[in-house]
Amino acid sequence: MTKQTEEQIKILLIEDDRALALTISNLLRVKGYDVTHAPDGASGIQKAFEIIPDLILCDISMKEISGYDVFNVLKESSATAMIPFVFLTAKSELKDIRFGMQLGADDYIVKPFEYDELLTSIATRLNKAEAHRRANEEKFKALSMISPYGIFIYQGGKFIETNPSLSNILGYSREELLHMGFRDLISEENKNLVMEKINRSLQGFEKEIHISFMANQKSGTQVNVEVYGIEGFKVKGRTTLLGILSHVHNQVNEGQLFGGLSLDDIKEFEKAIDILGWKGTYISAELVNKLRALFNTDAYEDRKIEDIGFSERELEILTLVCKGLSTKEIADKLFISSRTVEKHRANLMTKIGAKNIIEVIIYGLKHQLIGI
Amino acid sequence: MPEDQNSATLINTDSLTSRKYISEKALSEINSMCISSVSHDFRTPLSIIYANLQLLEYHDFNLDKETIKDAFSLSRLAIKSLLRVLDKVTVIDSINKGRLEYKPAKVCLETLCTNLVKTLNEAEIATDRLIYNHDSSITEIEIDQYLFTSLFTHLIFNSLTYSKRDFKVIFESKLISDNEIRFTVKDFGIGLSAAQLDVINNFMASDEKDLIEGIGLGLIIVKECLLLQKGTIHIASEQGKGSLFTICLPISRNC
Repeated sequence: MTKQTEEQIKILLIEDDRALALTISNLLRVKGYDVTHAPDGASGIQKAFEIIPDLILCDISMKEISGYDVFNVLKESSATAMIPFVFLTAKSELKDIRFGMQLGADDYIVKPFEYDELLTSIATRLNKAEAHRRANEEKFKALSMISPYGIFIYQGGKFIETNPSLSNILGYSREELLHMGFRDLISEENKNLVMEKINRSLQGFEKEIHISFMANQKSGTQVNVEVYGIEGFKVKGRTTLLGILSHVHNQVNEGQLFGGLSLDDIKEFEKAIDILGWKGTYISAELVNKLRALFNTDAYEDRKIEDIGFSERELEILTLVCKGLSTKEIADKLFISSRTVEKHRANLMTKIGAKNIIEVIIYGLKHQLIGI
Repeated sequence: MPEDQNSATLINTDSLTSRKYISEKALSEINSMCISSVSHDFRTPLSIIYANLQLLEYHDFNLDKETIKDAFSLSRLAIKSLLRVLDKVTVIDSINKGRLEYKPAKVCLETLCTNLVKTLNEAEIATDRLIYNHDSSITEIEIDQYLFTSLFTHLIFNSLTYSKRDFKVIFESKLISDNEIRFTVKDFGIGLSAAQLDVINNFMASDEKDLIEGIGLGLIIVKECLLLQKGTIHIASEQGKGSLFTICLPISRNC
C-alpha cells in the first residue's frame, strides 16, 4: 500500500460529455495529476479495477449506467471500496445531493464549479484517504505485533511484511524473511503442490486458501505449519496474499497449543481483538506491550479477584463496561448519575492497575467475569 | 356534457402555417419541456466555458500551447452548443405561436449539407464521425434552408447521441424523381423498441396536437418542419442494431 512519492496521483474521471471531460482533464493535468478518462459508467468501472486510482470523479447523470450505479458497484469490492469518490453533478437540487450523501459519497461538485473548489475538494479527499490508510496500517501493525500467530503479506514470491511470531515459528529474522519466499521454506516433498496453490491464489484464481505443510526452520528442524490466506489489497497494481501461519504440534497437548499459550488464552486474545476492532480504538504501543505482558507472562495472574475486593456495584459496572456500554448507558441502566459511574470506573482502573478502560475490559475477560 | 379538460384552443387558421389546434395542456407541457431542456442543457456548456476561463486566469496564460488552444476551442464549442439549445427553443416558440413558415429559396444542397455535417462533427469533437454522401446529380434546389437545417440537425443529433462514439452516422441524399429527393440518416446505435416506435409513428401520423407523451422537443421540431415542407418520414429500427430514418422532400428543382 505504500505509495512512492515520485509517482503521480492517479485520478479517474468518469464523464460522458467529451468536452467537459477534456476541460476537467486539462484543469487537473496542469496541477500535476495523472488523469484517466472513461466516457461512460461501464468503462469507468472497468478502468477503476484496472488502474486502482487514488480518487474517482464521477458524473451522476449518464446514459445506461449512472454515477450512482458506478458508486454502488465500486463500494462492493474490497479493491475499490476505499477509493475516495466525488460526484460531479448538474443537479443542484437538495434532494439529489442528500441522496448521494446517504449513499456515502465523499463529496459533491455542482456544475458549474469553481476551479479552487475542485482542487480543494480533491486535495482534502486525498489527504483524508491517506490519513485513514495510515491509521489502518498502524492498527494492523499493532495487532500483528501482539498476535500469537505468524502474520505475513506476500507478493511476487517474497514476504513483504512479517511479524515477530512468524520469526519465532520459522527461526528467521524479519530481515531474512523479507528476502525469502515460501519456496525457501517448504520441505521438498510438499513443495510443488503447495507452491501451485499459493501461485493460483496470487494469480487471483483462489480468493482463500488453507494449506498445511512441513516447513524448514533456520536450524534445519522441520515443523508442521498451517497457512490461512486471503487475497489482499493490491500493492503497485499487483495482487498480494495476506495470511496467518501457525505452528501445528503433532502431539496435541490438551490446552497447550501456540507458543505456550493455553487454548483459553488464545480465545481470550481473540475476544480482546474483537473488542478492539469493534470499538475502532486506536492502540498505543504502551497498550501493545501491556497486552503482550498479559498474555505471555500472566503478570496480572497474581492479583486474583478475591484479593482485590471489588464491591458489588463495581463488579456490576465492570460487567457493563465489558459489554461495551457507555458511561451514560450504564448510568441509565443502574439509575445512578454519570458522575458516580465515572467514579466507579476510576476505582476499577486503580484496583486493577489499568491505564485505560480497554485494559479493564481485558482484565474482565481474562478473569471470566463476563461472557461475550 | 362534461367539460373536456383537453379541449382544443383555436390558435391559428392560416393555412400557410402548420399549427391549427393546440390544447392548453399540450402547450404548457411543451413550455415546461423547454424550460427543463434549457436548464439542463445549459449547465454543461456553461461549466466548460467557466472552467476554461478560470484555468486561463488562474495560471495567467502560463500554460503549454496545447492547453491554451484546448481552452479556446472547448469554449467555442460550448458556446455553439448553447446556441443550438437556444435555436431549439426558438423554433419551438415559433411553432407554438404558429409563426413557423415555409419560405423557399435557391440553395446549393451540397454546400448546405456539408456545412451542417461540419458543424455537427465539430460539436462531437470528431472530424469524421458523421459522413455525408451527396448525390452529384443534385445541384441547386429550391428549399427552405431554415426548416431543412432544423429538421436534419435534430434528426442527426439524435442519431449521434444514441449511438456509441466509435460508430459512424451516415447521412445521404438521393434524387429519386424529378421533384423528390430522398434523404437517409443511418446509425448503429441503441435503436428503438417496438413500443417506442409506435409512440413516434402515432405522433408523426396524428393530426392531434396533444399526443406528446414520451416525445421530445427534437421530434416536435422534426414533425413541424416536415409538415411545412410537405415531406414524409419512415423509420426502421432494431433494438441494439440501430435506426434508419428515411425522409422524402418534394423540391422545385432548377438544374
